[in-house]
Amino acid sequence: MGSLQRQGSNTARSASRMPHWMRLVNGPQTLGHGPIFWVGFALAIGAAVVYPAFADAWSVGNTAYFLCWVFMALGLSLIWGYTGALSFGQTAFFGLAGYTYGVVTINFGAAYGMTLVGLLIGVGISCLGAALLGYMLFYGRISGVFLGIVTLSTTLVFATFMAQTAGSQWAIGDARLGGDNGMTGMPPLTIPWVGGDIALYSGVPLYYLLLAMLVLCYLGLRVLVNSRFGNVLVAIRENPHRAEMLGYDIRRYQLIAFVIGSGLAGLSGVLYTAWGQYISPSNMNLAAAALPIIWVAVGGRKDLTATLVGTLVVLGIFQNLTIYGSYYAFVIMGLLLVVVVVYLPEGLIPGLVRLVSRLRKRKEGLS
Amino acid sequence: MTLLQTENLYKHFDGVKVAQDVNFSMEPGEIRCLIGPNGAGKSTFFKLVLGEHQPSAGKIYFSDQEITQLRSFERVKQGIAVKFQVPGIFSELPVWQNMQIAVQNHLHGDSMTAAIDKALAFVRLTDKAGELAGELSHGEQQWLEIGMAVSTEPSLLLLDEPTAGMTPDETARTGEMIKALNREGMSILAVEHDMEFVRQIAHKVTVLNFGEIFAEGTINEIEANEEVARIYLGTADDDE
Repeated sequence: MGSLQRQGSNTARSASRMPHWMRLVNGPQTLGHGPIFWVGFALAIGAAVVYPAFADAWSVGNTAYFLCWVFMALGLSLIWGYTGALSFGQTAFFGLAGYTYGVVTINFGAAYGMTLVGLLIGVGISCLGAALLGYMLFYGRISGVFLGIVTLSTTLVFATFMAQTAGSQWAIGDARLGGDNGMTGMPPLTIPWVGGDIALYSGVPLYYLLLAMLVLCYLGLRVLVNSRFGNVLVAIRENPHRAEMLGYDIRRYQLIAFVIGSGLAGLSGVLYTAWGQYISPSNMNLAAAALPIIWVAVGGRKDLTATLVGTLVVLGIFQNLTIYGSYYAFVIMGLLLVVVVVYLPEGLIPGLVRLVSRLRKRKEGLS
Repeated sequence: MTLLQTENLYKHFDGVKVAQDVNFSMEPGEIRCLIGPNGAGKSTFFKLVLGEHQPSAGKIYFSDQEITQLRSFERVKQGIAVKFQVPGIFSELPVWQNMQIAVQNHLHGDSMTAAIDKALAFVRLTDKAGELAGELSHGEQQWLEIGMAVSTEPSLLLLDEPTAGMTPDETARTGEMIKALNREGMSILAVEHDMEFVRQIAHKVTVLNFGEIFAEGTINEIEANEEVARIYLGTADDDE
């Protein structure tokens, strides 16, 4: 990562002299800042836009399913990769928001934009939950491995609790929690429109909505991590003691990052629930909680682009493994995590960038 | 006005007294060195001033305002900065970004860039702005940290063994830096073992022993004090 940071650091100084609009999305905290990167980014977006024209409906729906998860991965990158706080329990906020969406939309229906209200309430509740848990964690000076233990325990307790809600008494209005079987019957995201609502079932319109949301989220996070706020997050990750001794209230910054990251996990939860019209405790159990850690670690937790690309690739691999290798999929994912942690602790994509950078330097040296 | 004052300051750890009735004061514009044998309570005193330890009893005043209950980052905002003994820098970040993090809390835009460039020039790291802080030499890391600390524009700079691990050349340069900062109006409180360095910079010296102020005065007065020589500086008798 050293050479990567140095590469990024080439802009650290010049970034302050860039035009304001460029400075917003570029900076030392993100890989890729030159014209080549942004042309590549535009081409990738273009390819994603025309993709449904060349793919069957199932593949588009499946890609939409992948996109649902990326928000949680980006949020974890912010919390873990940028701020240095390993949260093992992001699925708690995923599930909390998913169930909330279900309760709101089952009770109030999909008309008049109620699914969008359900989305906002779901994300809001997950942010509120994260604020409460994060306050206890960060203001209680819990850090390191203990932070991981507490957050993992939170999601496991929540999953266990939801698993025993099978009885008919476990209902909020018309929404039955459903125990181990989960909650079903919520409507998909529905956009109010002149001439009739548009229900976004798993198909092309939902894919485009998710793609647009992801691009906005990615760019928004790039702005955030390259801002003064992002500088402080990275400082806290590197040396919290020094950061505090430069006058920063590090607990406040950690809490804000945790809430934003958990809000994104909540967004994933709502989108997933709306996509499949289903949410269950299995989305919050140990295996589910471990997967985001693997996506983010394998791609490269300290960079948003690496996290985004890594998550999509690992999700694709995992899905194929589950189709062809059944339960071996989890074993292979575990092995992948171990290999990456041991040999490429900064992740595959930063490792690849570093390799290319070394080869280029060697070539320049030879010439 | 007194810059830093402690009033009957005590700190106990499980019955072990590491600060006992410390009544310390220093004036604006001073360079004060804190010396004493190992375990005398110098680091604990620093941590009490910084808010990393809460005193068992007593009060701390900074610029005549009581700061005893303030948290560390609030004390920094009041105008106290610190350089730790082991360089407290952001090793994986470039030198320039280290400075930016220090400066951005109170400056923006062009004035921030100018302040960073000025601080880098002061600690002679302009040429290394793009390098990772962790790849600097030990002495350069110490200077970077001094640069970061002074970039917060403090009125009091605490230095915990600022020359630890430095070559004689680097030590001399560090002394010049400290005196230059003092000429610009910054007060310095330094824990230091190197008496040659203390002689180079100190206006006044405070000797701590067993958590108490044992002696105080100019460097000449302290060196002439036989009791100080006995407990800390070493005497011919001790060598025999």
